[in-house]
Amino acid sequence: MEIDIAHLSRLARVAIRAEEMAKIKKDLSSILGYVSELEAVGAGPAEVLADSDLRNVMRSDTDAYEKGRFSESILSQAPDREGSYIAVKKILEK
Amino acid sequence: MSIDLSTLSIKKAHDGLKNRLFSAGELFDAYHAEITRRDGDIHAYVELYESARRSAEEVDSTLKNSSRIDLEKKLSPLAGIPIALKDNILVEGEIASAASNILRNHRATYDATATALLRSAGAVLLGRTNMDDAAMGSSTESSVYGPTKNPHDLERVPGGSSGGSAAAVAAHMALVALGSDTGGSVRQPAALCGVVGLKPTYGSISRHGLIAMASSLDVIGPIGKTVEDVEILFRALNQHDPMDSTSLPNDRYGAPARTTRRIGVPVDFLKKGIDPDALVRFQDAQTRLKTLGYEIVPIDLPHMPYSLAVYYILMPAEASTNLARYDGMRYGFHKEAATLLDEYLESRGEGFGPEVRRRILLGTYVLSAGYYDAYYKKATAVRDMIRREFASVFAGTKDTPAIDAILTPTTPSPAFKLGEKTADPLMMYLEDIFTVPANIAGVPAISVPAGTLLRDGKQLPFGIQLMGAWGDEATLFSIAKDFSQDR
Repeated sequence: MEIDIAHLSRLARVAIRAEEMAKIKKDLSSILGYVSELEAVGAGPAEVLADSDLRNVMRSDTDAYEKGRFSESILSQAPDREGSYIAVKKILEK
Repeated sequence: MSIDLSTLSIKKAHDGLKNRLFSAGELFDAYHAEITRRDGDIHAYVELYESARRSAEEVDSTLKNSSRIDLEKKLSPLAGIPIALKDNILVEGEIASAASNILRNHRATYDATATALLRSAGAVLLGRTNMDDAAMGSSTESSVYGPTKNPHDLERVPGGSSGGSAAAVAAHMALVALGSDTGGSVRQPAALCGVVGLKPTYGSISRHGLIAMASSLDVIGPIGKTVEDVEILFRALNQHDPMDSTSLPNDRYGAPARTTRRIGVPVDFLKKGIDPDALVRFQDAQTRLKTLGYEIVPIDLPHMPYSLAVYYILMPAEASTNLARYDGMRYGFHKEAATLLDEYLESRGEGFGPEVRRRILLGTYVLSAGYYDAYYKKATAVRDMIRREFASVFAGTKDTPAIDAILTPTTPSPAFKLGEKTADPLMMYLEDIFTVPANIAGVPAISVPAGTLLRDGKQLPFGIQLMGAWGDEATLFSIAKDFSQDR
């Protein structure tokens, strides 16, 4: 199988240096080779596990804590901010 | 008085405080002195919290202002107990970096639920311990702070990813510690450092405030010198938490007591890949359990050997999703670049170390269009089969009787040398071959010291692992205490 590292790198938003491409490709091929042993496993029973405890967990959409309690400690860690907004580069060019 | 840290347990420390043999401040000082003496070589800690001495003093003022009878009734078992926390568990106001460059300057804005429970019990939080980058690794070598060394041989790794926590306990630089376990990250370092480590049932300890890696597998787990210490810590943290939707409600948790006194060994799974000396220790352990009155029976879990392959699909898939939040824009490492897209690419490219980048790309690959069914969907189907097999083997099948626990070595071999496995990721991954199945099945598992192996003139610890039925930590504690003779 052919793995396009440059494409994956863009999808994942993780820059991979040119000199690392070959090594990471080799590593991924070897790991994917290993996990492909699952192809040998036949399909399992279709029904849901009898002892399954899976269920939806809901909570009411109310404030878990008072408004603004964490705002400053969170905003103070942003690389760039304008007032109570986090500032980032423009994405639309004129 | 001088306190013998090498034989200290939570109960002994608690009695010592209650009977005023020493103060919480003196206990803290004893651990601090040991850290000063040894951690330069071992590097278990990445930071000591300045607030620790103050917490000890607060316990002392309670001790001073309470009558003997009050203390007997009210003093929490964890009051004054010095605990180390893995660097991925949030402590409000302190750096929590997961030993990753991307979070190196990240300061926690709230306490993890585990932290808050320890704090309210009066525990003394000593500091944050070293770990693999974003908890990805089995040796603590991928940490942005550099590796931790094994206290039994400084040329060897302590295991990982909770290597700092295990090394701190083994070297008496903390009485107990917390780690996190996604595929073996509590049990494997506990085994390599000669201490006890528990991966509890999935959902039994809140993960609110644990830096997430793979959310269907992650658990927080205690590490201690004795089974009893680990049990005390587990019971203190085993509580429902509305802030973690996967946390189990108290009334749905637990399992009926198991009394078959039978332990299953998956013989086929253990046929290859184990160090010959480790195999001898493993057989010794079985002999010992038989002497203690347990029956050892061979069991068959045909899909268990696929656990590691399932793990290396589900874990990277979930990790790549969880780690998407570290974008360099809101907090953590940020790299300036020409465009917004380049800033994402560069911040994440430089922020994550090689192992993390590898797993993010792997996760992105197995989740991408056209591959999803072949990898992720297949892996979840095989996970269901493994869970089913675990449940049936505990209940008993037509071929094998019901059992109380499953026994394996914790690791295939003792601690390896620094640098020995860093070049080949797959070799490092195989280190977790015996620990991963419990995470895949969601069941509890404990690693207990079971003798040592001689390597290059040093005695290196070897650990056995007991896996229990879902929700049944109690049976594991019971067998592990029998085995370690600490009742």
